Amino acid sequence: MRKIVLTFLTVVTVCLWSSCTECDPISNPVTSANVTFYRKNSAGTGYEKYKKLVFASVNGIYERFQGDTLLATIVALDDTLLNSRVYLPLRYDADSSYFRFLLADLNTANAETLQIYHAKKLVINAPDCGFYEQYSEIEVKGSFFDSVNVLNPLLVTDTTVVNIEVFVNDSIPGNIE
Amino acid sequence: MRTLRVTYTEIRLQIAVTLLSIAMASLLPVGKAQGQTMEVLDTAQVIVPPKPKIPLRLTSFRLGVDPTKPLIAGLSKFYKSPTDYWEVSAELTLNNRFFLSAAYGFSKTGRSDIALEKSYIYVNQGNYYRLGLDYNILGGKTQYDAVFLGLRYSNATFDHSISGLTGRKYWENPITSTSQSPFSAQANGQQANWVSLAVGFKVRIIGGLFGGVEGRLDNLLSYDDSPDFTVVDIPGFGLLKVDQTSKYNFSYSLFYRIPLWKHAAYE
Repeated sequence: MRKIVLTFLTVVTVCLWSSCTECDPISNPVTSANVTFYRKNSAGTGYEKYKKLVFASVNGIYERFQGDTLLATIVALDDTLLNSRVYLPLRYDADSSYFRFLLADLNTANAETLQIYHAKKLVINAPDCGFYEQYSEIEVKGSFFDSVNVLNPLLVTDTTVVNIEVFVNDSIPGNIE
Repeated sequence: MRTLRVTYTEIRLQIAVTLLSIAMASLLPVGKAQGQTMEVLDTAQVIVPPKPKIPLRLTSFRLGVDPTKPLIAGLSKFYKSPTDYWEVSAELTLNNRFFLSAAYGFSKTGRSDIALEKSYIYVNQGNYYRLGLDYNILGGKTQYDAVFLGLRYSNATFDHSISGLTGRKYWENPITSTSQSPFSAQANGQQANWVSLAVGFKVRIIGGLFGGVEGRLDNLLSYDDSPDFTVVDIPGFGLLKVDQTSKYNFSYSLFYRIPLWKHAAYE
């Protein structure tokens, strides 16, 4: 019996020693939706992908309530343009993120908008190793573009995964791939 | 001569009684042991008579406590994740061969990570119970000690909450110019269920005092996942990493034995 007890205690000690929890290195998913733009081809029969868009700016519309009054402020979203893709950072403190795309002529009347609704969840990297925001269930509502298609409703670590495809008419200048 | 004649008469009488007894005995139903004895005589083999079967009875009741859990809770005060644990258990032993066990415990866990850009404090608190059946593989070789294999079912009910600050690149509050957004969420009455394979031993230390160690492979069956944040701890199961469904756990116990059925065969 003593041999059994000693053997078991040794195994337990080794297991406990090896089970010390440490922070696992993990890649956090992105917090910006990857939006790719397509333009109608010259024949008008289909769409072709923009290589580079020429927006004057892409802004966020920061909506908040003050009492019962909805207030909106235009905020700058720098560094969101990258080649043919636009990375739209999603808000964690709201259920939707509202964006304004200002065309090159700087006429705000020509601005297009995109409102992205999303679910969000805090994922804690246990134990005590920080957390990340996981966005999912992306939906687009209230778009003034021709049409919008949600390709991947979940934001993942791979920055090349396209989440939203936006189809526009040929009024937005840019280079086609 | 008289004496001798009487003696002969008595001898005859005794022989007659003996023969009569044998004849009557041969008419009675023959038991198994008697049959085996005849077999031994016939085949000249040595056969050990079988041990008498002892019916399964509740032989004792054991009350236990895990002394390591308050110890770990005390030591955790020196770390950044203070905890509070306790666990009590009870056990019915059947002939020191089978054990019906039950455990009930409390767990409070705090986790945090304070960084400049993002920080959080997570608090989990709840109770759990564990029911199980063990089999002593030593069988009847020892009176009190046991090396056992067993199965467990466990259930936990817990509340947990999270609060903190998350950074928000680009979405700076235009009024306050702060680039962090406070958040807080809470979920109460969450449930978790899991089953376990258990292995361990129990040994008599002195008198009615016993010590035991139990290792378990816990496999989660289900748990309530909160919509706003992930479950980090489950009382009785412990730390739950992302996508984890099973883990090893250990329990240490001190028991006090209360005999229920006293009989020479069980002692």
